[in-house]
Amino acid sequence: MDNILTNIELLTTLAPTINLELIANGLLVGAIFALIAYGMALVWGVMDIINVAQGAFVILGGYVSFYFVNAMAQVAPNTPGILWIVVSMPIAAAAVALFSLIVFKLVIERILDRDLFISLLATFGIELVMQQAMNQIFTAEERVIDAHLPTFAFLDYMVNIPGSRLLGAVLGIVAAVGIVALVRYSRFGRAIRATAQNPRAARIMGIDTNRVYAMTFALNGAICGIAGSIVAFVYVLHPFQGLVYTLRSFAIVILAGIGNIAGVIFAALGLGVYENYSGFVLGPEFQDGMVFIIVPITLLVRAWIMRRKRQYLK
Amino acid sequence: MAKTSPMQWIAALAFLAVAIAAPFFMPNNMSQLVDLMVFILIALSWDMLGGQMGYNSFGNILFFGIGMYLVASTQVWMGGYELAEYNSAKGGNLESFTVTAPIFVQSLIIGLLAAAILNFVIGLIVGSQLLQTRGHYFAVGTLGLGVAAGEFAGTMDFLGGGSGMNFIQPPDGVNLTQLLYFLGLGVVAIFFVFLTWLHRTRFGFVMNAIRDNEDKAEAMGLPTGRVKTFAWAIAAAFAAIAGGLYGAGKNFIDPTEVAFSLPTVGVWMLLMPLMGGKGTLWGPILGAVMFQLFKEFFWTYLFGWQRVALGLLIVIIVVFFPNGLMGGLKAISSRLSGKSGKGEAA
Amino acid sequence: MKHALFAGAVTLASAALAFGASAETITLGAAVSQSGKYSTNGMHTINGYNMAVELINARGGIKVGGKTYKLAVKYYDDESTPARGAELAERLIKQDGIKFLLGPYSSGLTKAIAPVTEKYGVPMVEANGASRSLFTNGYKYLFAVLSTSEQYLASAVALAAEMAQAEGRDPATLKLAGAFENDPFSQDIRAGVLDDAKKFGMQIVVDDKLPKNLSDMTPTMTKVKALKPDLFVVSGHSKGAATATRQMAEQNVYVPMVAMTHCDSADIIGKFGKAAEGILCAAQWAPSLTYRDDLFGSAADFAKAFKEKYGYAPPYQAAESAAAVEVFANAFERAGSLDQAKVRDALAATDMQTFYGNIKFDKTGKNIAKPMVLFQVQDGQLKVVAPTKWAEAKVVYPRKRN
Repeated sequence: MDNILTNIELLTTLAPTINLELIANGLLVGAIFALIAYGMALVWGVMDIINVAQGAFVILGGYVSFYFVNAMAQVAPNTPGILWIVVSMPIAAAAVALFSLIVFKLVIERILDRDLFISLLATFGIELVMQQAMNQIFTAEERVIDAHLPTFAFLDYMVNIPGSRLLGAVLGIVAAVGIVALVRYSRFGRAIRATAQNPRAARIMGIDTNRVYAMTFALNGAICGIAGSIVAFVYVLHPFQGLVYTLRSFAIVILAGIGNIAGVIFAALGLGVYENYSGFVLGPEFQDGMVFIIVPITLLVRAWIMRRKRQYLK
Repeated sequence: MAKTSPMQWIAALAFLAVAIAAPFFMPNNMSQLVDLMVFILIALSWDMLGGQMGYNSFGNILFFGIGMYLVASTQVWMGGYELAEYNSAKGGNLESFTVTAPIFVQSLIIGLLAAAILNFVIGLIVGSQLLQTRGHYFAVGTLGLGVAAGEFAGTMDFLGGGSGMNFIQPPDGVNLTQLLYFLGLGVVAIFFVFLTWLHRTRFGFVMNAIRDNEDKAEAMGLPTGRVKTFAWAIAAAFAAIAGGLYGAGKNFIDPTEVAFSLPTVGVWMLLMPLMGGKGTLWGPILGAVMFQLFKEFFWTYLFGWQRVALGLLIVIIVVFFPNGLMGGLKAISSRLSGKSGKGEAA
Repeated sequence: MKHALFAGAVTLASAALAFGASAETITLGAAVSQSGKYSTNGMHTINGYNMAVELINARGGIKVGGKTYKLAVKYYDDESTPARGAELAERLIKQDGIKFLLGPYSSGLTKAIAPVTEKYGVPMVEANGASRSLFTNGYKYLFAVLSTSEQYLASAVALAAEMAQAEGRDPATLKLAGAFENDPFSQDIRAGVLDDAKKFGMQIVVDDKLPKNLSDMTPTMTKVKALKPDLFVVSGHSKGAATATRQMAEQNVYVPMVAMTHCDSADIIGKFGKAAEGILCAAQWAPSLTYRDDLFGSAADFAKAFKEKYGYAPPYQAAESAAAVEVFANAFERAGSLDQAKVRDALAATDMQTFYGNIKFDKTGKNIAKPMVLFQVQDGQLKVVAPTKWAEAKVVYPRKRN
């Protein structure tokens, strides 16, 4: 308890400027989560599938990016690494999208009309397979890409924005805006939304819903690929690190409410900040628990609100 | 609900006979047999909600973990040692710490009973709230709760925090695995008889009614809320006993990897009923046996790829055999007898 | 029926094993993490074991009671989870008939396996479980070739005090910040550091526990920055070292002295280059130490041979693992028998020098004959700075600001 009080004192009186750093870094982290959670929300909303393997897809994208950047550093040692990092993103996106299509054809297609419980288990199985396969193929060593970017410091070094995180957040937002625009304005996007609203009606209107599902899942793969290459130069890659991203996306989608795509962005940014604060005040060991407990609490609050209207959350 | 057929009683007695004889034929596989009893127990307890009531919980690992910590703590406490000291990071000078065989056995049994009772109460409290959500919201909510529980257990220093906690060492003269096995078998037998009885009562009828259509059941004036909560509390009590047995068998508790390990036991406990056949009495038992066989086989022969194999197994089961072994058997038997195959198997 | 099938599967397994092991082989068993969060160091551990086993066999094996035996190791993957580790230890002993075990990676896994080996009276020499909580249980069959956790960073704390005195400051005015992973190894490091700090009267300003699924240390870094400690200590296996090094640089966290564990196995120099400059690293062993033995030659010879074989410089995890195999070989020869109780007694009486260091166990089974070393990253290389006996370079203090 004492240290919690000291920490609060630190935030409120001793060094209030560090609030800015906690918030800024939380938002930057949140931007990456937003991208990943957006993909999850899309698949969840359109296909009624919870993709537990989301984190493993992200890590896979990270490895594609890692190997590409390293190969390029060998081929062309004098070019700036940052160039190859940016170039690697569409490559990782394409690779994971292709992989997602294969997974869709093999597994997802067959469970589309089953209940969510089945999809949770099936994608959990896929995650297990991917984790250990990546462990065997890419080895267990922690991998990072060093972007060699400067850190921007403000207020006498009290507030620091690492260049890599800033770049990650900017690229993440660019990608998110692009995808939102795609879903909102393209023909393909219209088909997605129509299918999400009413698959039967969409089918009657001549939309090949199965193809829409395949493309949605591939689009999610592309999103994970991009997120993965960001994770590679902002954080650390490890075959078993995916669960961190899966569970956070999960909390974000629940917090935002399923089908609320815009809410996902805000929920993700908020979660990033909330996480930093709970880590700072309670201690880093509470950080994960405080994130995961959001899920049942959000649901309970919503169930409670609905109960007052004599409805149930289902 | 159909009356229990003599065939089922014969099957149950045969199973019991094999189970009692097993330790004498397989003395080198005792720890796997203990795991098997634990798996049967959690599979049956999960199926009470998931199979019989249609509430797919991903969070029963909560009770499993709490039960494990409770049994370990009870043993330390009854052994006359202070818990925080026992679990200190630099080690608690345990050379001189020994317990006598009677105290060891007593503390184990009292610990298991305490775990069952306390988790029954926790099940009532948590259930009365979380069971307000339905369908996949319930699945997702319990999932969050299960993961969070492990993280919070890791922050509690008096339980060893993230460093984990050892069960106390069994004194000479106590054959721990045999003790755990027969305790497990006893609890499985009690639970099985209890479930057989329960499904013939009004309580069991309401459980199935909730699965088939909760709104209708409620409209009929059935006490759905109370039945749901009590069913979960009973499941919680047995899950806690399973956790205590499992922990004592493994000897070491790690908060996220052993006690509240959602990616392993937490998922296995719902995979097993699915393999055997959800919503049947024998399904979870057969599923647990099959799962344990598959798991041990993978870990022995597919070294390095065992989780890939397990993952593929999960995918294959849920995609191609969602009705499990019992579902398959039912389909075959109904085809043979020419019936429509809609009868209950329990 | 179900049980019969089960038994069948298992009998098949043991038959296959019996066939694989010829009469002149002593098979050691080991459950080591090849997947999961400890798999990086699990790999170093396995490479160390294999290196020693292959060299011993190439030299003609070991003589026990007039007969020559080859060594072999049967591995399982514990997946970095303690429950699996305990199961596999039991399986090695009961089903595979293994009579001697090598340790797993990490204190947590060792904590899970030690009760099993103890129960069956199977001697286990372990090289990667340093937490003191392993050695207070009265285990009789557990032997550790490495120094225990509290010694890892003791020299770093002492060094900070020394530097303060040289500047004319009272060590009691020093502020210490620590971040330790929530696992038995790092938490015992913490206990040791706090004890040492108390000895000098230092003030502990940050005392954070890092989660096991660490990906971001922002809150800790922010706290450290605000409280400006004189010494920052981080312990969190490879991932902790990598994450801390990167984020200290990225967030402009400047502390005059930074000490860590696992910076060599995490290869922070290779990964982050300049950002690693000046960091102090605790290690069990260094290639520049002056120990030697007949098998590998000097410490430097081991390092060279290892690099040739596996393509990377050996972190101390590999060296201590190789030493564990040497200790077993030595004990077998002295016991003159493969009886478990006799080998256990021979192990307890071990008093030898290996390329890794002197090895002599106290009655709890931990090695008390070997000090820790402290590296500093200087110009992109790990240089030993303490103890003075082996120091290759003088410590650079304070750390340069980048």
